[in-house]
Amino acid sequence: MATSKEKLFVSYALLVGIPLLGVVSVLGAGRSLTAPLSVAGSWDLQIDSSFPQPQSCITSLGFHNPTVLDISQSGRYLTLTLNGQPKVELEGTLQGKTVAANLATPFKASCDGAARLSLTAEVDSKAAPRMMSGILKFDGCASCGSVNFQAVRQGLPTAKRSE
Amino acid sequence: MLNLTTLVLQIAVIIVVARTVGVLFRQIGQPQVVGEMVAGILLGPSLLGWAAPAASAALFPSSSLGYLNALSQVGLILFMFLVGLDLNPNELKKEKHAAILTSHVSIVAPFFLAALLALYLYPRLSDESVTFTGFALFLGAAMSITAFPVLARILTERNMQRTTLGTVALACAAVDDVTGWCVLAYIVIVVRAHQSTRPLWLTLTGSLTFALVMIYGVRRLLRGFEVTFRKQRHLSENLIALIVLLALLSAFITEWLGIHVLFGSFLMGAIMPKDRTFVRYLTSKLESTAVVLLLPVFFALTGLRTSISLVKGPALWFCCALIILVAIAGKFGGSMIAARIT
Repeated sequence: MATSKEKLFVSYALLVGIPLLGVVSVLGAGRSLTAPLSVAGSWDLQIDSSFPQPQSCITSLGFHNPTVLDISQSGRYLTLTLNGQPKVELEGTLQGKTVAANLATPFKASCDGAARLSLTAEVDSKAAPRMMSGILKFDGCASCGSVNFQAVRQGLPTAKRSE
Repeated sequence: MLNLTTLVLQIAVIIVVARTVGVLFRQIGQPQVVGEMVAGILLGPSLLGWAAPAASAALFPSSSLGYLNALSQVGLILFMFLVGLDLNPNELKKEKHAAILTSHVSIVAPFFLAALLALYLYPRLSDESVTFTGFALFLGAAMSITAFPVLARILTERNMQRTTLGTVALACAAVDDVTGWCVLAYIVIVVRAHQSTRPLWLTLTGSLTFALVMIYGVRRLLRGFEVTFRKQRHLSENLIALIVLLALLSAFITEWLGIHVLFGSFLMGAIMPKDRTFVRYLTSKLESTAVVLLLPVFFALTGLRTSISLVKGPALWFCCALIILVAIAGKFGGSMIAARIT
């Protein structure tokens, strides 16, 4: 019959040793995984200068050039805040290099009633500092349609993997 | 700069809300400490900050939380000293095999499940600036660490801290958390090498040396307190101050070593003389300030810093639920299997 010390030793090997080996194996297996690009931080967003309509959706949202775009990131899930007057918050995702975000509720534009704002952009992961370019689209507003923009990330170096 | 009026008002509001919610929780059979943490959530950005942002900003300006946190840490040091003081070493000796196996399994089992979960979460919740190893180790450490003060408070509330079950649970939690802090120190080295304040070897060897010196050296010197107490039937204020000072010094050393203040104060309490009259006397001198005034601030602050609104959308709620499920399965399942075997 096994003594209590032998029982402890066997239990220890089974319950501690095997999971520990499992942790080491999982850490090895996970090295091949890739995480989404890093886009978190503040960006200087420059709206296409050929879009200076005084009563456009842009002015309704209090944008000026450049406007600061703050991105809060949890992996592929993003919250984008356009720091106009008032601040506008969009919810979005990052798929590969593409950022897609929407304003959940329509806003009242001075040009053409209510409109919905959506943002689509492509991130240039090789640029340092990181850049993206894309379109702000005003769905439901016949006068504005969409406007191109470019954004440059402030202050953060391009992230590098150490693995 | 510290606004004393704001600080006093904050403490008063926290005590009233924490006591009220705590009592309500007790009435439904839940620990008061859980109610105190829920009180913090109600007072924080999740409810008060969302429903009345101006009132929230006036009552809990972010610049003031540092002072509140410092005060709550002092309360935690005193409380963990009292928990250590009440620890029954004879019960622990009887159940040492159960304590060793259960504590180690309750670290490794959640760590393994967390590493598996990291395979799913890393491509979804991380970004390229964090390596998979760093992400998985962090998730593992977060899931394997026991909320030591919460456990201690629950056992104290239910008067279980001197029972065999309570003693083994406290010992397991202490081992878990010291290991967890060492793993965190390692992660800081792996992930943020340039921000590491001290090398891992110093944390490991320093913690072990400190524990041995305390158990085999300092403990003998502390018997003088018990001898004096037996002769005089009380301790002078100077001696009480000296005991508090020793708890603070011990907390300072463990914090400096890169583990947490709470282990130092807990260890100092654990090696104090265990005569029942002495323990009761010392407890009566310190308990009210720690448990009634300062500790609710610590637990409420945990909730105050929680913003539930940051979890947005069904996908993130699913990840949140998954993390909670795996954490419970790993910790509860691992501990239960080990405890049953021993």
